[in-house]
Amino acid sequence: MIEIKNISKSYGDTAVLKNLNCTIQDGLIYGLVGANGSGKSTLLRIINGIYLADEGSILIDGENPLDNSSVKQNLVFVPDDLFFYQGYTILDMAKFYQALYEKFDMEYLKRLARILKLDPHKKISQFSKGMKRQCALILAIATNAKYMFFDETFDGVDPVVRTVLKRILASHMEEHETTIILTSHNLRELEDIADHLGLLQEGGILFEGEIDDIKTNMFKVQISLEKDFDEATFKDFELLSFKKVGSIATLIVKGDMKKMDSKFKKLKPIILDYLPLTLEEIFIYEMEVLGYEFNELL
Amino acid sequence: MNSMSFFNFQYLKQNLKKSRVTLAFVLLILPILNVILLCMRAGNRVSVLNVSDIFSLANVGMFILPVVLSILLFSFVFRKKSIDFMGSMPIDRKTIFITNTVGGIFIIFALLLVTTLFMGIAAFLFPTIYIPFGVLVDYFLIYFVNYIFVFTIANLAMSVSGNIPTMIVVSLLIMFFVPFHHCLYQTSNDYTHYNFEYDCPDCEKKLIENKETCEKDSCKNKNGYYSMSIYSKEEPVMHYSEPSQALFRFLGAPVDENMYSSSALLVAGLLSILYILLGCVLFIRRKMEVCETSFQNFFTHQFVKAFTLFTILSFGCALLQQESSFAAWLFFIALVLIYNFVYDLITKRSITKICQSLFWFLGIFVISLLYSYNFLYENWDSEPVSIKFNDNDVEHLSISAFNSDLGAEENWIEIKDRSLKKAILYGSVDRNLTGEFDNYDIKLEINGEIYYGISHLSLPVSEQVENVLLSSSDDEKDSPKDTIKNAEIITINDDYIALDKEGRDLLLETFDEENSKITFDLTTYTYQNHEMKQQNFESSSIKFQNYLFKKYKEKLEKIRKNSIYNIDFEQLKGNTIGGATYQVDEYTGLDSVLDLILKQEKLDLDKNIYLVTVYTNNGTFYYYTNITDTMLSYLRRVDVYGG
Repeated sequence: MIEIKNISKSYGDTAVLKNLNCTIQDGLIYGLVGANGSGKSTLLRIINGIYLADEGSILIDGENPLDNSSVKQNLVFVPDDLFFYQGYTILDMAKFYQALYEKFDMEYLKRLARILKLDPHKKISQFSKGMKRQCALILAIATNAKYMFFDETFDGVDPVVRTVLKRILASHMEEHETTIILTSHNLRELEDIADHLGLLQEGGILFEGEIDDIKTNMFKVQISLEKDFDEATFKDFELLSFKKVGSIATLIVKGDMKKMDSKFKKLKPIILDYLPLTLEEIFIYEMEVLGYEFNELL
Repeated sequence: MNSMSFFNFQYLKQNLKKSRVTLAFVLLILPILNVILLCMRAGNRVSVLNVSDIFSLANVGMFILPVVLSILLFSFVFRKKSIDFMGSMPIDRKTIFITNTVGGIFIIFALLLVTTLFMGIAAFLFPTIYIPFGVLVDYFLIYFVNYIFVFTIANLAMSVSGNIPTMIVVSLLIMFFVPFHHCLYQTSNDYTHYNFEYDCPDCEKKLIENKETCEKDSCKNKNGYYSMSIYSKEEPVMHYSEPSQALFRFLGAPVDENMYSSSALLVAGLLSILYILLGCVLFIRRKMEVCETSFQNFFTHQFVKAFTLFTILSFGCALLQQESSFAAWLFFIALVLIYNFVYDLITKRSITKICQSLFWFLGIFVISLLYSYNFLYENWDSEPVSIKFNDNDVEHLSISAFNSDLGAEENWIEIKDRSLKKAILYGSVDRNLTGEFDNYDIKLEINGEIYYGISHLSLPVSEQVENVLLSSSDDEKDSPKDTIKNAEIITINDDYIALDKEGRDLLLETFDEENSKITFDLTTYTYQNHEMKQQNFESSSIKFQNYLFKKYKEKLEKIRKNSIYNIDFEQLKGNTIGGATYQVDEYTGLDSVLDLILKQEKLDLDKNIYLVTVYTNNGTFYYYTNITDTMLSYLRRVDVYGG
């Protein structure tokens, strides 16, 4: 389990993380989403013991990862800006990882390279941007670390390979009970893989939860009633948004679907349609409730 | 806690592997260049290489190679993405620092071992190059310690710097800031160091105040008292670390001449340990986000820059305050101001907060101006003391051989002769100097206190002093025989032949032989403990001359093809030259004469003996021989000027 307690971090006069608290349970794929510059990468660097936090503490399985190589054996971090030694092949890099990670599986790496059609003897510098990211990902997966951190993971990877990588991650997670923390500024990338999402904004986690809960707890409803109506008509609902065009209103409501449905039916609607909400829409409405404009996510 | 938590070999191996090409360059550049230099020196003459001959290259390398090595080993700290990579690896910072430091020391060991071995092998392969074993050992030890010293400084600088330019600046500050300012202070005080320098108006004033009873414009009064305003403290010679010494020696600043002092090595060793510990602590606490820039904090950036500015400004102010024009000042200020901003551009890649930066510059400029003015004119810690004494008060008077013709080593020789003592004392206060005179540093011991001054001696007195110094120097000399016995290497006459064991034994025998009817001039160059001694003496040993003749014949055979261009023959009459002379060159049968010389067997004292001088492209050498009738007639025929 990763426990993040009251973490603050500033670069000069700019506060990036402010008193951030978060707990990431084991066995999850945790998606951390936030706009550019929201502090996602800084948070991952602090968790991985690369940067020192100004305040607060990080505990991984009850231990501080900072300068703690035994804890770090369980962590692997693939940053947004990838690094490979000049002139190195995948195998050269793998040997570097193998020198430091006790559980590094060279055969597994070669297998993954074969699946992704990456030549392990070719210099990484000659690979495309997407292929370099694939290299970094399979090197990280082959470490068999318990906690894997991927910053802007699928940036530059084509949709087909992205799907393959997601499958690889999912199957690895199943086999090894790995916890994966992914960050992205694009919710769509995380939607189909993460089972828990956190929204990082202005240095803190503003909103987090299980994706299934989030998705089943918020609805877009199109409704028309026999008599005239306005927003006040729905005062018994947890209403996030109300827009009325003509006699048809579009509502975003939060709550248990069965209870809501019976409530709506009591109003004797002429039209009552439940429309699916994307994760992005859910986040935007949640943010609007909190008073934020979150259009960057779109 | 196991040893792996301090040192991780696998990490070191991988870390070195990624820089193997540059590492190979670092490892091989010094030995290869050294061997190339040795090859260039390998000629017909014997080259006995002393420390200064082989140390210059290592001195240059001392400032470059350890810094490059540090950058190679810790390269990841200067780039954000490599910090992400290495920082997330399961290895703690302490292990990284210690592993890289130990690895670097091992590489320096290998580098110097390879360099020393290469030099040893080159000296073995080139018959004319000799490097005494002691010199090789010293070379290895001195540079092993000093390269480690610079390496630890670079590592310490790396721990606090965000990029390579800043690391280099911080390294230079750690290495040179204190020694440089001490050296600057010492240099600027040099001319006010002693009592009666002409440039010291204050001393002059004091002298005048005290001279109411002076005789002959001197300050010796009727009662035989000297009044002096004199410095009672000797300027301390700071035993800088070798990198500072090497630089200051190169710049001609007054530093400890003894570059091999064990105290300097000890200081370097102890400081290295301190820097390793400090570097490790700072590396563990390092904010890794501070990379690719100087320092994130503006104050820290300006503070470090201020040290560099202070060094440049105080040096410039010290120079300019003496007599420079307003234009020179303006030019200097403009240059330093440009430096102020170029520094920002190099280390931070941008110029920010211009007004604050200028404010800092102004502050440092004022401080530097006051500082340089203070040490130039106030002379705060070397106030002269006024003393009065007579001849009998002077317990000891010593004179420095440093200023004499005897050599460069500072060596105080006590003067015991009463009249000479008086003359020297008189010379130290006499202001009415006319004619030629020599200056000598003197040291007085009066009532248990030591005072230093300068004595201006007229040439006759100076001659007496020289004789005292010379005889004292002679007392310390070994006898020629002992010198030869103890020498590591002996070359003869013109450095063309180094004596082997047979030659050395034969040379030693010459000291026991009684004089025969003819003696030969010999010049030996003996090398021991990094010193070369030249000795001239006469030898009457025919065996030794025959040995030399054999060796010279070998040499002639080797170099005849393309090196010799002239040979002179001068007949000896008794022990001096005075008989017939002949000269041959490449146009007058040099080759035939060489054939005849090589056919000759032994020296016969009953026949005419000739001094043969051989002129080669690399110099001249000489030996003694007989000339056969055939050769004589040939010489008479070819040398129209001879006879």
